[in-house]
Order: sequence, then C-alpha cells, then structure tokens
Amino acid sequence: MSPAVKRPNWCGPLNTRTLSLLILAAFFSVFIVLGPVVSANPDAGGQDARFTKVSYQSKILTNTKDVWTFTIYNANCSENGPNASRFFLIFYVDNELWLNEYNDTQYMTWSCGNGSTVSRNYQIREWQTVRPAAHDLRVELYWNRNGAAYLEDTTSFSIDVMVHIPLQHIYATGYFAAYLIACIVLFSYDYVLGLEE
Amino acid sequence: MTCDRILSCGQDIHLPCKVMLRRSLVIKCFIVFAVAFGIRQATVALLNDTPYESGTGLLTSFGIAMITLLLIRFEGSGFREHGFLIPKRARRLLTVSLFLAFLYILVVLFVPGGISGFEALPPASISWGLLFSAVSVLLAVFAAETVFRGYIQTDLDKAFGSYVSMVVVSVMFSFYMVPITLYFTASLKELVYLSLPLFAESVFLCFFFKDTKTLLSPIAFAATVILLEMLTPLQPTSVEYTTLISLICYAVLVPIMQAFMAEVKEQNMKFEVVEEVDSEEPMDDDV
Repeated sequence: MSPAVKRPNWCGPLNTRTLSLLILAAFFSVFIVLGPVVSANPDAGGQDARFTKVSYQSKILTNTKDVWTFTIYNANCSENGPNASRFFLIFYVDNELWLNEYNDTQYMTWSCGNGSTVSRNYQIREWQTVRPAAHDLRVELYWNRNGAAYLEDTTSFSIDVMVHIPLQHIYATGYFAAYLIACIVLFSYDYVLGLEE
Repeated sequence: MTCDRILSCGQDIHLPCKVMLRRSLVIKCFIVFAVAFGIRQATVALLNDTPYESGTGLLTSFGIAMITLLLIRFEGSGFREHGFLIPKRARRLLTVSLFLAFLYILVVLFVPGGISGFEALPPASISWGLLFSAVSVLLAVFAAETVFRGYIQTDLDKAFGSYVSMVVVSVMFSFYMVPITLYFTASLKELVYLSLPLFAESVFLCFFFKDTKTLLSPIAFAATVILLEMLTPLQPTSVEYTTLISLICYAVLVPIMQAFMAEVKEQNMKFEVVEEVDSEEPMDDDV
C-alpha cells in the first residue's frame, strides 16, 4: 500500500489564506513595477521656465508633414534690459544633435514675458525612411541671458515612423507566415492531445 | 432551503420569492458594473487612454478584480461556481483558446490588410516596458473577465437564462471598454463602430465561458488577442471593413469553438465510460 501523500488542492476554491497571499503578492508586484515608472521623470535645469504642453503625433506615416507644438511657461526668467526673457530650443534625435535653434538660425531667439505662456510650432517637412523606424526625441529649453545659455527644462518623447507596405512585402508576409504556422502547430497539438486522451 | 438555493436548483418556486431574488441579483450586478465602470473610466480619463502603460492602470485592474473576488468571498457563493477552477482538460482548453486567438488575428488583421495594404510600425523591442504592458494586459483581462463573465454572467444566468444574460453582459462590457472621453468627443456612428466588435467579442467570450465553465479559456483568448495586437507592428491602412470583418469573424468563431468543445466533451464521456468498464472488470472476475 503506497503512503498517502497530501497534495495541495489547486483546483479547489480559494480559501482565505490563499486569497490573502494573492493580495499581498499582487500589491508587492505592483509596487515593484511602479518604482521605476514613478522615478523615470528626470527634470533638468532651474525650472524658472518650463514646457507645459507638447503636442505631436506619436505615429506618423513616412513622406507626410508633421507639426510639433511646444507650450512654454516663463515662471521666473526676467532681467532688466532689452534682451530679457529670450529663449531657444535644441533638438536631439536618438541622442544626436538635430537642430540648434540658436546656432542654426543666425542666433535668433524668441521672447516669452515673465509670467506668460508662449506656443511655438515646428513643422517637419517629412520623415524619409525605407523601413519603419522609432525615434527618441529630446528637446531642451534654454534661456538666453545676455549671450549665455541656461538650460531651463527638457522634454522627451518617441515617434514611430510608419511605412506603407503591401501584403507581399517580406515584413507583412513574415508575420502572416508566423501566425499561420502558430495556428497549424496549435491545431496539431490539440489533435495530439485529443488522441492521447 | 433558502430562496437562493431553490432558484439555483431550477425548481418551481413561489412567484414573489422568484421576483424578489431576480431583483436582488439584478441590483447586485448593476452595482458591481457601476463600481467597475466608474473605477476604470476614471483611470482612463486621468491617464489619457493608455491603461496598459501605467502603474495606475495596473492598480485599477487589480482593485476591480480584488473587489469582485472579495464580494464573491463575502457572499459565500463558491469560487468554482463563478468559474475559478482549473478543469481536467486545462491543456486542451488553453490550446484551443490560443488557436482561436491566432485565427482571429489572422483574419481581422490580414484580410483588410491584404485588400488595402498595411502601415508598418517598428517592431516592439524586448524591454521592461513591454513586460510591464504584458502584465498589465493580463491583469486587465483577468479583472474584466472576473467582473463580466465570472460574476455578472453567472448571476444573471440564474435569473434570466443564458441568452438574456449574454446580451446584457455584452452591452455592459461594451460600455466598460469604450473610453469615457470618446462618449463626449466621438460621433454616434463612431461609437457604434467601436462598440459593435466589443459587443461581438463579449458574446463570443460568454459562449466560451458557458461551454467551458471556467474563466481560464476566456482569459487566455482575450489576453492573447490583445497581446498579439500589441506585438504585431502592422495595421491595415483602411479600417472601413475592420468592424464588419471582426463581427463576421466572431460569428464564425462561436460554432468553431463549440465544435472543439463538443469533441472535448465527447472525449470526456468516452473517458468516463472506459473508467466505468475498468472498475467493473474485477467484479466479473469475482463472479
């Protein structure tokens, strides 16, 4: 006679202990996951001026126009004299300098009075790419104070550039074939399981 | 014998008692729906429609699931009754769920894409963010299935029968899934176009739950569909026929799923008969 082995009843209804453990485990996992999400928002600069809103299309089709709108609030950047409260932006695409508004436009800046808000539009003529691409953008806001630049705020966002393709394209055919094979494998596996039973 | 027990047995009971029970079940279900709807829509409105990419979305799903589980616990009705069980044929059920999910994606993505072409996105990179989204999807699906299939459908089924409960649950599910911001910004036509596939999906999931008696199968199907949609960096250029194709696809998936389940049930019956024959053999020897 084989010894009786007490096995956990996984198929049975949840008891209070299991439920409490489930709650604790879920809370623990939530806080672990929340940690990096909450801390992943680095601020830069003095924050005397800051981005209050950034509008962009997160998915844009190649060869189409795109417009980014930045709304900036000047909280405390002021100075006596004619050059007070002048700002410019520097753009980085995938951590490489893409546009320095100050250097690339013959030292032009734009003004935003103390305590006021300004919206700036930047039009991108088109994204040219052969294959779909993801770009990480970082935009820095600088206060130009008598020729010296002070970093005030930074904002980051990602853009997916989409490409129009037909079904015959290898990119689409690859996924189609993979899913079709998955279907066949699952159907066969179910058939085998049925035979085993 | 309590009224609850009588109603679940399906016996003839005194009419006022039946009406009272129906009313209490309906009120309970609507309260659960209102709580889940309120929590989810508040989160969606706060997070700007990205429930799978934030910690708050994860916490919301967790909260909704826990409230429903605790409600089931405090009511004293068994978890098994609400679909929280792992059946004997769990592997087969999972395989069938995954097969149906892959089949659905193949049809809904590649039929309209084959006609109008695709807009290809960069493939999703393996990262912590992706893992977080996957966990978030699993928890969101678990919460939705616990509320709609596990709780509301089971209770309404007792009061009104399968088909009425399926329709009511599916209407509720559509309201729950459509982000509240769209109720104010989208036109009626857009809302109907958005709600119809959700309604069809819910009807399919209700059939799946009714036939398998476990939440494992609807959870596996719904989670796989969402994850495949997230991981496939392709979308049809024209979305005009997507709603229609999705409706047709779900209408076809119901009989396919029922055919699979009929086979599984047949296997179970055969299995039981074989077991009975086996148990009788020693008796014959004894004779």
